[in-house]
This record gives sequence, C-alpha cells and structure tokens, in this order.
Amino acid sequence: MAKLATTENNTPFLQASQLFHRFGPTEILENINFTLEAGKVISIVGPSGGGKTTLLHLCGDLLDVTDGKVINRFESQAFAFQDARLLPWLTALENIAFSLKAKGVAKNHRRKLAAKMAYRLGLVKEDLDKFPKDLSGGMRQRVAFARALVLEPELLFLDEPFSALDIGLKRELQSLLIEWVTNKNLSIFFITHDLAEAVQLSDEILVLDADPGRIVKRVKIEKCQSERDGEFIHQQIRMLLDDPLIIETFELNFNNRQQEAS
Amino acid sequence: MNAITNILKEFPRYLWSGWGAIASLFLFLAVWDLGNQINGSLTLPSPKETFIALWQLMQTAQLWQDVQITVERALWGFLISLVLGTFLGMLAGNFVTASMMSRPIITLIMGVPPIAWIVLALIWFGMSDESVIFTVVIAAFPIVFVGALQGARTLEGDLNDMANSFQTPLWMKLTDVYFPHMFSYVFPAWISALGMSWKVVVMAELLSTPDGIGASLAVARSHFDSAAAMALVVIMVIILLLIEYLLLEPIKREVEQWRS
Amino acid sequence: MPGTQRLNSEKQIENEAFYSVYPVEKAEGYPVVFSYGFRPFFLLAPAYLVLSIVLWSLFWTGMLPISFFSNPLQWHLYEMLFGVTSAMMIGFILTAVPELYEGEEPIVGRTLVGLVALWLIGRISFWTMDWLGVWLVALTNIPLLLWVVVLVAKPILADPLRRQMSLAALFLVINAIQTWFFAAKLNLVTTDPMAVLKVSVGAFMVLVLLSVRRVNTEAVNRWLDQQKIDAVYLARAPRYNLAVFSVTVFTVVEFFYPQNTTLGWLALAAMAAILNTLNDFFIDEDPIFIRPFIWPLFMLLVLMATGYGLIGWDYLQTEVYQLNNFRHILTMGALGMAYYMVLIIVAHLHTGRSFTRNRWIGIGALLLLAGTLIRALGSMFVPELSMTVIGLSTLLWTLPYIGFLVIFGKWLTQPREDGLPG
Repeated sequence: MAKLATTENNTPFLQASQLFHRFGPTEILENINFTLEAGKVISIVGPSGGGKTTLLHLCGDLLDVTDGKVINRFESQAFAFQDARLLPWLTALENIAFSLKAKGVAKNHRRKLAAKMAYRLGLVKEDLDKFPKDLSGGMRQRVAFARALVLEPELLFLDEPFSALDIGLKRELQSLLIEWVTNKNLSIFFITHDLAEAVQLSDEILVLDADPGRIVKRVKIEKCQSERDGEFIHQQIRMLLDDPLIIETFELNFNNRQQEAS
Repeated sequence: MNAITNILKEFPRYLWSGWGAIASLFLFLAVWDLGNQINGSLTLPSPKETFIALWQLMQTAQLWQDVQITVERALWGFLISLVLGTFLGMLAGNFVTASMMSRPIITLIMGVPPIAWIVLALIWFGMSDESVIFTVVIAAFPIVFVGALQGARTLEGDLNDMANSFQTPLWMKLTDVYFPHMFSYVFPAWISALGMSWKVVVMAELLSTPDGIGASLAVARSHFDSAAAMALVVIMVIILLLIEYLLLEPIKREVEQWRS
Repeated sequence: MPGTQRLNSEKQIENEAFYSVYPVEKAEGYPVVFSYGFRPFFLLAPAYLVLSIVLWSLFWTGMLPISFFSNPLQWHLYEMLFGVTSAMMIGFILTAVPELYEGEEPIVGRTLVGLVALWLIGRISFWTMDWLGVWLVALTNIPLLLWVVVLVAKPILADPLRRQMSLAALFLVINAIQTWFFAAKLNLVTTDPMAVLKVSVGAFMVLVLLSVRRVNTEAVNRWLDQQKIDAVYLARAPRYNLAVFSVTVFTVVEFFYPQNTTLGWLALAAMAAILNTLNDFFIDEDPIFIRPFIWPLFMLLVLMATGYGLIGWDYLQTEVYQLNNFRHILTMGALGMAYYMVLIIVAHLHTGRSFTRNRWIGIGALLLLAGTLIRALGSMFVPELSMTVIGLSTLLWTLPYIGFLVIFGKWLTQPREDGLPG
C-alpha cells in the first residue's frame, strides 16, 4: 500500500535530509533523515530537551534551516502547541477564526466555519463569546485544536497537544484525528513523550536521543490506526520497552540526570 | 467602531455604579467636617465653606483662565511624553542593547525628585511655560517609556510563533497581535502618566509661573485664604476625577475586558 | 455583561410549598387564617394601619375632636412604627424561617393564636395607656418581639453560615429601642421619648434594607423565571452593607449630636449608598426595573434614598426646615412601600399562586408614591394648604392597603390555591 519515498510532483510529502542544527556551541540536532508521506503519521518520541521541538520548528518553517535540507510539498499546514497559545484579547470564536483570517477568508464565512468546528470539538455556544481567561484549560486546548483543524490542512504539526487534557477529551481528539488521517488523507508530524499516544496514532515512530538529538531507532506500525485496540497498544509498548536501545535512550538520560542532581 | 458604541451603551450603567464611590466620598466629607469642627475654619475650612468659596471662584473669569492655562500646560507635557515615550520606548524595546542602555538612564531620571527638576528648569528656561512643560515631560516621559519598552520586549515569543505558524500576513500581525499587545502595556502607562502630569504641573506652576492654578494656590497661601486654597485643591481633584472616571476608565473597561 | 449569570432553564418554579415540613395536627381545628404565620398578621397590619392613620388625620386636622391620649403625636409615631411594623415583622419572619431552613416547622394553630392575641392586647393597651399606666403597657408590648425571636432562634443560631443572624439581631435591637422608649416614658432614662422614636426610624430603615434584600432576591428572580428572562438578580451584600452602615452612622450621630453639620454629609452618604444598591437591578439589556411588580421594589429604594437626600440637603442649608416632612418619605414611602410589596408578594407566593397581572398592584404602588410625595413636599410648596395636604395624602396612601384587603385579603382566609396545607 505505502509507496516508497516519492519525489513525484503530484503527491505531497515532507522530507528532512541530513538535517543538523546548533544553537551557539551546542549541537541540538545531528543528521536527521525522514520522510512523511501524505495520509501518514510520524511521531518523534524521546526524552525532553532532546531537540524535538527544534525539529518541529525547522520542519514547520518557524526556524531557518542552516545545515541540511527540509522539503515541504504540502499545500497547507497548521500547528497545535502544547500550551494553547490563544490571543487573550480575542474571544474563543475569534481565536478559532484567526487562522482563517490569516488565509483571507471573509468575515462571515470564517465565523460560520469557526463555530462549526467549535461545536464539533464539543464547545458550546456560550463559550464562543468568552475570552481565554474565562475558559478552562481543556476548553482552551479545544479552541487551539479548532483553530488548527478549521483550516482543514494537509499537514498538521502537533507539539504534545494532549499533555494537559483529561482522558475523555484526549480520546475524542485522537479519534477525530484518526478519522481525518483515514478519510481526508491528513498527514501528521507529531511530537510526544508518551509512548501510548505515539503507538495509537503513528505509522512510524522515530526515537530521538538527546545531546545531540539524533534518531536512534525507527519503528513502523503497519496495522491501521482505527483497528488498534488497547491490547495491541499495550503489546506494542511492551515490545518497544524491551528494546535495549530504547531503554538506553530513556534510562541513560535518567541516570545522567540523577548524577547531575546529586 | 464597535468599541465606541459599546462604551456609550454601558455608560449610564457605568455612571450609576459610581454611587458606591460617591457614598464613601460623602462619608469622607463628614470626617472633613468633623476635622473643621475640631481645628477651626482657619486651619481647615469646612466642606461647605470650601464649596461656597469654590462657587464664588467659579463666578470669576480668573479661575477659568487659570484652569485653561494649567490644563494646556499639562496636556502639552503629557502629549510630548506620550509621543516621545511611546516611540522611543518601542524603538528601544526592539533592540536588546538599546533597552539595556536605557534602563539606568530612566532610573536616573526617575530618581531625581520633580522639585529638583523645577529648580534646574528655572535656571535653564526661567519663569516660563517651558519650565513647567519641561518638568511635566521629565516626570511623565519615563512612565510611558518603560511601558512601551516592556510592551515591545515581550512582543516576540510564543504568540508570534503561533501567528507565523499560520503564515499570518504582516498587516494582520500588526493589528491582531502586536497592536493589542502593545496597547495593553502602553495604555495603563498613559493613564499613570496623565495623573503624574496633572500633579506635577501644579507643583511646577506654584514655583515657576505667575499664572495657572498652581500660581493661584501660591497666592491663596500668601493671603492665608485657606478656603480658597481648599477650593483650588477641590477643583484640581474634580478635574482629575472627571478625566479619569468619565473618559479613561470606560475606555479601559471596554478595551481590557479580556484581562483577568 | 456585568452581573449576568446563566440559569438552568429547567429550574422548577411552580407549586412550591416554601416549607419542608408542615405540622398538620397542630393546625387542626383552627380556622384557615391560623394555618400560617403571615395570614393573620398580614390581615391585621394593613387594617390597623388604615384605621390608625385615618383616625390620626381626622384628629390632626381637627375634624375629630377626640382626646383619648395625652400625647397624641407619640401615639401616632409609636403605633405607626412599632404597632404596625411589629405585625409585619412577625408575619415576615414566621414565613421566612420555615422557607429558609430545611425541617423547620411553621408556627401555626395555638401558638399563632397566642401571638395574635398578645399583639392585639398590646394595641389596645397602648390606646388606653392613660388609664392603664405606662408600666402595664410596657409589659404587654415588650415581650411580643422577644417571644417571636425565641420561636425562630434555634435554626438561625444553628446555621453555620449565620445567614439570618443580622435580621434576628435587628429584631432584638428594635425590641431594645422599644424598651428604651418605655424607659424614657417612665423617666427611667433621661432621653426624650421623641428622640428614641427618631432613632427607631433609622432601625426600621435598616430593617427595610435587610428584608428588601431577601425579598428582592426571591421575588425578582421568580419574576424573571416567570417572564423567561435568562438572567439572575443578585442582591449584593457589600452594597447593602454600605447602605446599612451609612444609615446607622447617620442615625447614631443624629441622636448624640442633633443639628451637627456632619449630619448633612452623612445623610447624603446614606442616599448615595442606597442608590448604589440599585445597581443590582441592571442585569439585562431590558430595563427590568420599570416592569410591573419590579418597579415598586426599585422605587422603594429610590424613595429611601430621596428621603435621606432631602434630609441631608435640609441639614446643609439654613433656609428650609422640613426635616419632619422629609422623614415621612422614609416612613410612608420606603417603609410603606415595603409593607405593601411584602403583603402582595407573600399573599401570592405563599398561598400557592404565581404572580398575577392584577392592575391594582401597580395602581396601589402609584397611589402610595403620590400620597408620600404630597405629604413630604406638599407643605413645603403650599404651606397654607397643610390640612388639605394631610387629608389628601392620607386618602391616597391608605387606598393601596384597602385595595389589598379587598382584593387579596380573602386569599389569607382561604386554603392555598394548590391544595397544599399551610
């Protein structure tokens, strides 16, 4: 089913090749290579401070690439961040419509689309006129998701957007994403430190070790996302955790920190 | 604009909500009256005497002339501070070096008491409008400058990344992200600067001009006319309260609804 | 919008009993009018009010040359303040407590008959004070409110939030002022009985503020529900506390330092603080404070504020001396409107009815307002017509209560509309 990494013009993809990055003297990323195809999900897992967010910023063109290459052939992209990053002076509805406004969608139309997406994500009418300060953490995150999804992007960058959410909302959003990946050919570049989330959503998991950030393992999961049940996820996680390389990536780091602390 | 109609719509209710404040002001007048009963009218004229003196003053053309002169000086000083402070503050905020450099200078300017600036201004400009306006600017400018500087310093960051992630056009970034952010820093600074201007202008006039409310206050003092002095104080307070609560506060409420 | 909160639309409003338990066996064998505290008292209070004020006006204008009391002015003030208000207070608190406290039985039957009897004895004894002597009258008047406080004290004291403590304490304060009045009459204290009555006006204004806060919260929200307006009326405690504080300070200073110039400012502070409580009404785009049923509640506070405002103005300048007339805005206006609206509201809700669209309710409130303003301002503008002013204002002011008795009085002697006991 999956085609090989393709350079054909008609199917979009995101490709990083021989990507390096440094801040001053510190090397953050070392020789990153991967390809994300349309309708696929790639997760980057790894210890925190391992350059995951830097990689996301480089791929999403929020940071200039200095060494290596990032090719992005997707027509449209959107971001959801770990913190909601809502504009505090705009109401929930205006925040959702912000992404559409940036694309030049007319006012009435974008308000309609924004409200529709808001309801889809479980917000109610009264919430739409509230300012972010009057929304709970979960509701803010819904607004942030709605702002990204309302664009119906081809490529979605997710930077640990589920970490502040309760289980119910997390499940809801994840199944929505899986539905879009399956039916709308959405591609997702997903950063997380939660292996269960990664296993649930990804076609490919890249394990990123820290200092400097480099891919130490690639795991492909063939089974269709919608068919992955609790049993399957559990079993996959155990398989991953049995891998000495992964243990090393996470544990070594844990030991290092302990040494630093003492 | 939407905000203006909102302000006007809320205005009657806003005004009515002032009764609580008026009640405590009346209680304050009762205490003042008590002070008058204890100390006598020469030291502290009663509120009633003061208001009668105020009424008589208001019949004279002199008072309105003085008020006009003082308001003009305060507004000039405030406007200069506003324009200079906002512009330079934003400019400095965009460069780390400039903001590092400016901080000690601002601290220095703010550290010198306004009364000392008046003396220097008298040496430099003599008994003139310029002395007063200079003193107002030197007192109000740093407040605006610091507000604008902080606003500009905090512009970059997460929200900017967010805006960039949606490829937001520059103009929309200015109107939807930068301007509201800057405004939320600069507007409160303008309000404090206006209050400062009003206080400093009277003080400067008291020492350095032959006209204006400050000068009238000096005259009242030299004549030992405590009722007139109190009346002038009341006028100054009323003007400040009117500007603050009838003009600035409703605007602030409307534009800062989103603040927690 | 400030102060707006959303309601659960499915909130149930119809057929509320306003008590959680009812002592059916205690009410058995007594007429319906003794089946709930408000019933006898809310019949007696307006009837007695009309009777006393008509007699007083006839006497004052010289049309009825009776001399049954050596000090008719004190009789007028005491009976209008303590005589009438005590009946209103008892009816009010006996109805409020079972509603506010789960498991609290309403006072009915024999105890209620006893309370009514003691109140009647108190009235008759005061009328005949010249024959009975002050001591005996004091002994029949003072225990009434104490008895009521004892009857309702248990749940109020047990309430961990002490919500009704201020109201109960105020009952005791009013009782103490009543005692003080008799002590002054007996020359046990050197105070002038008239000064004590003046103090009592302040206490009754505080009573109106505290009760109106409770009545408004219930009545306005019920009305909003009935009108399907999706907003909540909140009588904010700090605003009322400021008003109570200002009124108290004014009253105390007026007693200790009559004619002091601070009184002008203190009265104006009371005015502003009372006007400030009206902010509670600005909860909807719709100006609910001009709607039927709501405007008299709003007007009540406006009247109280006007009264204090004019008193303050009077104290501040020297040309006008109208204090006693202005004080009538507080008593006839604020207190009178409070009587009237409490009568109407309780007679509706606690006999199992929804608010009706009876035109009389608004007309009565208007008449009451007109009577008050004529009494308070008439003799300032047309001093030569003072007899006419008093006669006309009495007529206008008593009509609302007569109307209440005629139209709604029967509800108080009939079983509840919804068939519930009580």
